Amino acid sequence: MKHLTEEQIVLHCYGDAGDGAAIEEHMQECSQCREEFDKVKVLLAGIPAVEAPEPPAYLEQKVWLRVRDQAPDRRAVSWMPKWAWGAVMAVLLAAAFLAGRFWPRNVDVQKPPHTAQVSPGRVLLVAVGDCSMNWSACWQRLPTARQS
Amino acid sequence: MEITEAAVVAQVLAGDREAFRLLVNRHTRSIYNVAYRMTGNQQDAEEIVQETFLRAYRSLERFELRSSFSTWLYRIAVNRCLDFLKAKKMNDRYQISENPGTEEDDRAIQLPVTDPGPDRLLLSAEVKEKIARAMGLLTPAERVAFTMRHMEGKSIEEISKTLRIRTSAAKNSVFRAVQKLRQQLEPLVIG
Repeated sequence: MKHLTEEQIVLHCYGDAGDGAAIEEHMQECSQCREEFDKVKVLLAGIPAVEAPEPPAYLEQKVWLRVRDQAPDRRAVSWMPKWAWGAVMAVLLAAAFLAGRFWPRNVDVQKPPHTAQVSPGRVLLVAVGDCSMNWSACWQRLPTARQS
Repeated sequence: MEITEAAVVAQVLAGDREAFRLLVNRHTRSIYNVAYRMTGNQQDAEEIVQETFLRAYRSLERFELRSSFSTWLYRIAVNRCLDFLKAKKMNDRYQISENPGTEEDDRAIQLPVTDPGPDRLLLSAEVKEKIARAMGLLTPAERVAFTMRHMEGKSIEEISKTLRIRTSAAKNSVFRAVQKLRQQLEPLVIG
C-alpha cells in the first residue's frame, strides 16, 4: 500500500489537499497514515492564534500625524486632472516649437572684418600685460592721490 | 447614516486629506493585530501599521472603489510585514554569525511535560516562547503564509492573491512551515 505523503497529510489538516476524499478513504484503511494525521492535527491545535496586546496609546493619532506630515496634500495637485497637465505641457511644447520656427531671425549679421586665428596662450599674455600695466599706472598715481 | 468607505476614499482622492483620518481610526487596530501576529513584536507592529497607512494613502488612486477597503489595506499590511521580515532575517543572519552556538543551545532545552491539557500541549509561557522561537525559524514567506492560513483563517487563494504567488507556492509555504514547526514542537506534545 502506498502511504500518504507528509504534504498531503499536512494540507489535509486544513482541507487544502486537492484529493480530500481519496485521502479520507485511504486513512480508513491505513492506521499508520491516520495516526500521522492525528499527530499533525494535535500539534496544530496546540498552536494558538497569537493574541496581540493592547496597541500603544494614541496609535491612531500617531499614524494620522505621520500620514499628514509625510504624504502629499492632494489638493495642491488635484485641482486639475492629470490629463490636463499633459495637455498643458503639449501646448507649451508646440508654442515653443512654433516660436522657434517663425520668429524673425537677424540673418544679415555682419561678420567682423578680420577673424584672425589667435592662439589662447597669446590672449592670456595680452590680458596679463594689460593688467600689469594698469597696476603700475595705479601704483604711480598713488603718491599724488595721497598728497591731494 | 454611516458613510461608506468608498465614499471616504473618493473624498480623499478629491483632495480632502482629513477624510483619511476616518479610515485610520477605523482600521488601525485590526492592522496592528495582523502586524503583531506576523512579527511578534509591538514596536515592529507599530512601525508596520504606520507604513501601511502611509503606503495606502500614497497609492489610493490604485484602489478600486468597488472592492473592499479593508481587504486592500490588509494586503498592503501583509506585504509590509513580509518585507519587514525579510529585512530582519538578513539582519539576524548577520548577528547570529557573530554569536555562533547560542541558538542551538536554546533549542536543545527539553521542557518537562506534566499537565495533560485538552490539546495535550502544555501552553505555559515557556512553551509559548518555544512556539515563538520555532516561528522565528521559518522563512518570511513561510511565516506569513502560515500565519494567514493558521491564525487568520485565510484561504490558499487569498494567500496567493495577497502575496502574488501561485496557489501551489502558497500551499508549499504552508506545508514547509508546518513541517518545520513539527520538527521543533513535536517533542513537546504528550504522546
